[in-house]
Amino acid sequence: MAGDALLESLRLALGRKKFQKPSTPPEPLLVVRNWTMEERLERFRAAFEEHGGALHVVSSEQEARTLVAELLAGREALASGAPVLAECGVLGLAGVQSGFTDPELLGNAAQTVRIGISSCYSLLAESGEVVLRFTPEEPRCISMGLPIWVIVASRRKLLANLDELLGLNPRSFESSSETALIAGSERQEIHLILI
Amino acid sequence: MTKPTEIRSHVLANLDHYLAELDKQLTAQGGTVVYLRGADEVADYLELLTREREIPVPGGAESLRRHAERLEPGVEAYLRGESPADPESLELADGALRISAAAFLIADAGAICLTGEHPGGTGPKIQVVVAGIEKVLPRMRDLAVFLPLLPSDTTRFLTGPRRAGELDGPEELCLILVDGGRSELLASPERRDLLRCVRCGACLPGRVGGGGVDCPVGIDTEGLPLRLREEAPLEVGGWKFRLWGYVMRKPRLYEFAGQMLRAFWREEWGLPAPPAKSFRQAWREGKK
Repeated sequence: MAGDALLESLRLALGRKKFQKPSTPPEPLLVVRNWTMEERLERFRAAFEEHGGALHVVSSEQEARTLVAELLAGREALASGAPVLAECGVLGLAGVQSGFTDPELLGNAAQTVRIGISSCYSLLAESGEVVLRFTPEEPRCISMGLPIWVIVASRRKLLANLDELLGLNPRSFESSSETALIAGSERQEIHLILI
Repeated sequence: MTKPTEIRSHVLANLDHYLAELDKQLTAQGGTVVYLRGADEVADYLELLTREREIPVPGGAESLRRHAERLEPGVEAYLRGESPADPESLELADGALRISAAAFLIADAGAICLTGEHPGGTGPKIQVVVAGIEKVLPRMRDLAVFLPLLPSDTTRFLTGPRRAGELDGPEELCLILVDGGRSELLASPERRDLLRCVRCGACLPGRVGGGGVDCPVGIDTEGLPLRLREEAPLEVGGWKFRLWGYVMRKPRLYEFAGQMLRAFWREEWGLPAPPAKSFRQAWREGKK
């Protein structure tokens, strides 16, 4: 069935003409909570931990690096190209592989390593969701494809809710091939280190 | 505050415009958009795709057909008030092809919204998404109203296949838009309301027609399906059920039919064999 034929049958059913513009769609009311950073953090902690995630709040990049090393406990890990990981020195930790440019090499490495380290696009306090935007620096399999996922992010990423995310720049979703909102996973052990 | 009902009504009244916008945007981002009439055409399309790409299908074409029917139950499912639960995705040949159902489509972003699907691994090589044409919403920000209706641990927005430099994700993304009788529903102002449904399940467990629950998109879940059934009673099973109904009303004929069935039963029919004695026969013998 050609698209044109379907669209024409819809126009006929609706009594519309080709190229006829619709009236302005009703505007959804975006409700952005006016929470302080501390309130956001507490709400995020409650929701994130309810989904089974573990939240670790640290005060410096050095502390974040130390905590990642403790979580790895000598095990190997794959790290994404998120700038915050380099800034914390996580990429220099023993056993951390990063800088992948070849899909096959990354796929093979993901078959043998159990821990992935990445950052995130934002965090939603109200729902405890982690927002991921998959890019060349943030491949899917490092964040979502391994049994243990360690996220390192600045607390600046903490938004109040989905409405705030959609209100910031709704067209930004088109800048990536996929955006995902994750509220915990039965498949993964998730640790979030918030700086 | 804008109610979901207002946005859904606006979309349906201008559906041709939003589908054209979605198609244009998703195609510009590298996706493919295909328009099909119903589940049969979806099954044919999937069969052709798997044959061309040499993707093995356990259970063959019949299994693809069953999956296509689950993904695209068609408009009759609305009229029957069937469960709005999302069907599970089908993944073939270790991620060579994944076939999913969309929760929403977003016209301005050319985005496909999937709920309840963990992206895991490196993603499929080919991602096919099947969606009824009514699933479209005008803008991403409309999701602030609609996503809370479909709570899920994972919500994904696909805006095309993997882009230059990306190390994983689908190499091809195909959106199949299915009419499935919806364009006929649109032509009827009274029936059109059914297409506002976003399958949130608020009317469950009572199901449409029996719940008496406030529908978030303003569908008269009690009255409308009943009115539609009165207007056009659904054919349940056709002549076989009418014959069964006739036989059930004639006790002697029913018993005779049972005797004939036991006498001429064939294993090759592949159905559970009837008991050696009917309930009536066993009852009579027990009383002696």
